[in-house]
Amino acid sequence: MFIWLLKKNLREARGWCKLWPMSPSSLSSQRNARWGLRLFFLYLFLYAGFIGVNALDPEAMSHPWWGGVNVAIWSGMGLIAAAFGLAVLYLYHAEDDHHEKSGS
Amino acid sequence: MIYQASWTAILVFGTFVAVVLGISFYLGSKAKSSHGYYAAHGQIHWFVNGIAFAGDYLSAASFLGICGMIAFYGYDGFLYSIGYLAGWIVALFVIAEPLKRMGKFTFADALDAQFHSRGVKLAAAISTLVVSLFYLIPQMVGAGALVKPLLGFSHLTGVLLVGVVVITIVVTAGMVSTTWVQFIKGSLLVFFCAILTVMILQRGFTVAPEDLQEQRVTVLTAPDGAKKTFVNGVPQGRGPGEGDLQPVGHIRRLPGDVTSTGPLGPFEYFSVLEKSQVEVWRQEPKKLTEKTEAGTAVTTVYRAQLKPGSDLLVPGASPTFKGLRSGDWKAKIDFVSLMLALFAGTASLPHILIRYYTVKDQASARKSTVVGIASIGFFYVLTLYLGFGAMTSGALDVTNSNMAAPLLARTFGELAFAVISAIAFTTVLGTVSGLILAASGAVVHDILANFCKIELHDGAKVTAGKLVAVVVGVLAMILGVAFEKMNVTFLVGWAFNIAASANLPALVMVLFWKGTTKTGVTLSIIVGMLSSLTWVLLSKEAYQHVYGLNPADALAPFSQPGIVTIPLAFVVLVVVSLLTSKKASSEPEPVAVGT
Repeated sequence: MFIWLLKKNLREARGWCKLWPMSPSSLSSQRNARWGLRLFFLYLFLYAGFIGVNALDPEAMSHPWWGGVNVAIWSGMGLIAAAFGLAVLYLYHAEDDHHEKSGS
Repeated sequence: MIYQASWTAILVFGTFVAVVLGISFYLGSKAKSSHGYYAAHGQIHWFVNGIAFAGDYLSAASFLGICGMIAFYGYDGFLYSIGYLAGWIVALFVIAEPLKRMGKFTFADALDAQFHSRGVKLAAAISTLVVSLFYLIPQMVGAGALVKPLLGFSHLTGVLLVGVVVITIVVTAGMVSTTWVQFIKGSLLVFFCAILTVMILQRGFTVAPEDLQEQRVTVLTAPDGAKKTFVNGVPQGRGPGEGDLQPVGHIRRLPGDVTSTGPLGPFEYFSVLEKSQVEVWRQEPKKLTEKTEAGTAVTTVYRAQLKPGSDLLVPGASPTFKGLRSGDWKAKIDFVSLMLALFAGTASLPHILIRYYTVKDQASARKSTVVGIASIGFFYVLTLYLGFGAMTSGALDVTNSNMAAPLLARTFGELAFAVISAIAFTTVLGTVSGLILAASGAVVHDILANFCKIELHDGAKVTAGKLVAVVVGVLAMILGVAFEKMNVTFLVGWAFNIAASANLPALVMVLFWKGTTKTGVTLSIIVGMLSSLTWVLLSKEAYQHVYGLNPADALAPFSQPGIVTIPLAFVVLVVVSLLTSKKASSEPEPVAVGT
């Protein structure tokens, strides 16, 4: 019964496999959300890569990189810089509703 | 270590508190409505709100805990910095704008915007209260630890002092004064830490001559329960025949065998440290217990160890992350789980989320988050310099890693110590006031007004909010005293795990999946909260530090639950929503709320 109900609703629940902003108030919000998700997944990829290297091959973090500073310091500072860089990129691409700009 | 209160420190500290309270009283005369009390009328400028984000977020754990961990173990503390900042990516790219669009006072508003369900409101409010209380404990414990050396007060007096000041701030003007306190604290913290970093780089590294190789701290508990501390065999004190712990941690050899480097560039600092030999101090794993007629004496031994700088600039030197260097898979999963909780936890913290309602629109929410990321990220880069600066300058006290940043400042003079300590105190004020306000909003707006359906007019909502703030403040003071001996970072980890497991799955799915139902949201919050809470209470840290039991008997396979409980809450939400979607489809179609 449980499985049947689950399967039935799984078929009926349209859009279940397509995660997307479900209640955007406007086209600009929808556009911002799309940009946001793209940048989010890009950062998630970088962050997961950093964690993966630390967990699976911690030796790699000790290799000296540019300027005699090792991979651990560069990658850590790089992740912080990347967060800021992507945030500014998002700010540049984001749009606002007309009434939001002038109204409030 | 025994600290002597100085008049400079007391004067600077008194000025800080007076300015903060003065601002609160001034702003208090302006905020009268509930929208003003809980959301600062939605009129805070985005730049001020962005810096206030930093003031809200950079808690005692960030400032004192991370600096202390880097000062003791090197790079491992920086892993927390990276994780704490990464969480803001989730806040900016996923949560900020829809949350602003859909809510009014609390994050339960946004969760419940399309369901109008009392269950969702109650579950969200309870999770807000639980997370706020768990986050409050380490802040209050940190406050007690700070005031002790600064003003020479006891832990109890320190906690009471913070509690009274914070309750005054919150009760006078709610979100308006809280925002400005956080703005002032955020700007001062980042600005003075930047100055301290410049001073560290200007000083460079200097080789120190050989001194102590071992320090022993003995705590003698008499049969009547009275405790007395001895350092290296003599009573701890500053008088004749007494002794105190020496500040430790030095550079023992520099590249090229020079005795001093002179000023260093920001990257040169690490390349020189990489090739240096550093003396660090480690606690011996076993404590020596001796029973005599005078009572039971427990001795902790600290020994100096010579480490290559390169060993301290990579992960895995601390007890928390040492498993990374071994083949222990449990330790690796624990690390991944912690980093996941830090990533997912930030955007689920109620006191951070309510800050989105203090700005006027989505554009301001977005801009203020970017300002927050810039200031918080800049600060986290500075933690590396502050931590390694404390490690190599003979500033460390082997018994208290929380004091690394203020003690580092002391090596530059009494005024620097006073300013940094006073900022550390405002750090606690800023975060605690935000947390109390979040808890107050959850009780009055979500539970009393929306769940219990008690009709409150606008003025009554504000009065009730102030009363709840006093109750939560008093509760925080009691918990701050009760948990005095508890590890601060451990408690913060708890709060992040519970917040990420209880709140994030519900928030993300409500915003992005139209199959979400109210039952799914309610159960996801409850299961996420209870599973993470139970897991942490059954972890080896809880066995060891809370119950005093053998950590090997702990039931949880590893310490950080996030990697299991966050996906679990997602699964519960999806499965329950699918099972209940037919019921949900008979309800009105979801509509966007707000602009």
